Amino acid sequence: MNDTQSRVGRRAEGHRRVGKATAWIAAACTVAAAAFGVVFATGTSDAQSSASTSAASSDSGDTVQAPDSAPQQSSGQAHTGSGGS
Amino acid sequence: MTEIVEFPVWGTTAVLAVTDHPAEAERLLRAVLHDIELACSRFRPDSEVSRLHERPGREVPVGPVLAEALMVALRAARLTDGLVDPTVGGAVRALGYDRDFASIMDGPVVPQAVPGWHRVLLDAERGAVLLPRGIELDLGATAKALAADRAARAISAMVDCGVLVSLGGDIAVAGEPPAGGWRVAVGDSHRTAVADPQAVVTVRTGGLATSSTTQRTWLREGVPQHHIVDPRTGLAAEVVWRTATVAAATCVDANTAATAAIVLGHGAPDWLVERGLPARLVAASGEVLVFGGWPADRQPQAA
Repeated sequence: MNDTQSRVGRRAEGHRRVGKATAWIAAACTVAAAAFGVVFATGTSDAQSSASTSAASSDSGDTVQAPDSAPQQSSGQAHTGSGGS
Repeated sequence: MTEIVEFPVWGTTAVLAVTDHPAEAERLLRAVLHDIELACSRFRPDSEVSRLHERPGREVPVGPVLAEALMVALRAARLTDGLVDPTVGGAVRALGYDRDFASIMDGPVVPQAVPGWHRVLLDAERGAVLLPRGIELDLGATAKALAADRAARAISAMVDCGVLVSLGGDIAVAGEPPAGGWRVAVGDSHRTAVADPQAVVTVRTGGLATSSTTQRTWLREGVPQHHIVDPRTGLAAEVVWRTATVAAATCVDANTAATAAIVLGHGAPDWLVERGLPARLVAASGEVLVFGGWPADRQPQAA
């Protein structure tokens, strides 16, 4: 078995495990949410609905927000860098 | 005149650039970082998130900083349909990467299913969390970006200056920028980007972040691994892109989109375009793609 086949096999195993876990997770969420008194299990409401302690980062809308303006091409010495860390 | 201060933090580098009052700004930045670390670090046994892990299945009171960090992480998960999921902690450890490279394990990769963000129950109003048994949170990505956003806002408001905060290349800016804007070099690594930039852009508002599959890499049984987990498989995301750099209204949103792009792989361009996000993707082959108004790379000058 070469590296690619091996990787595909591991990925398939990952999918299988995730699928198997899904049904159990749904049931567990329903029970836990009922006990906790807050229903987040559907994914349609989450912490944002009770964001009283939130600052701008966490209440900035229902989608990933684009910037006011796109970056512009530049040259010269940069103030800092952005890359993997 | 722009003042720049650098110091190590969380295994990476903090860069603070301000148009005025560098000492006061640095004090505020360090205070924000301290607050976030005490709330969110899974490597500190005395952090709030560590205490949360010690009490699974029970309602645990949390402070406002962890509540906000959880809100941010859950929002990122919701907006990406779970591509950026804070419950990947166990899966990352299963891949062999825990605290540092010295402790990376070798041996066969046994993928661990990611429990899923829906299972985290947060009542931010009351400041309470219930973490079901078996969930290990990793707030690293969004918490770092949140720290940059919080620090930039605080410094701009309290010191009244233009400010750029970079935490490992996750960048937030606030206030009036210097003439010409904040110049940011983009590259595979934030450490080498300034000296060896692939592109240089100017930003004036919001945030900019890069996710990369070329940093924090290791081998397990000869198979390359990196630190960005695909929650759908529990494995390191397939390497379609070397780097994904995104600009957004906040550093959190930029980081969320950049991480989602890496996980999405071939689906990233459509996902980014649909959201109108300026982005620059570098394919594994080195090909560069830009979207959403991101400027084309400057062509190298002929010798």
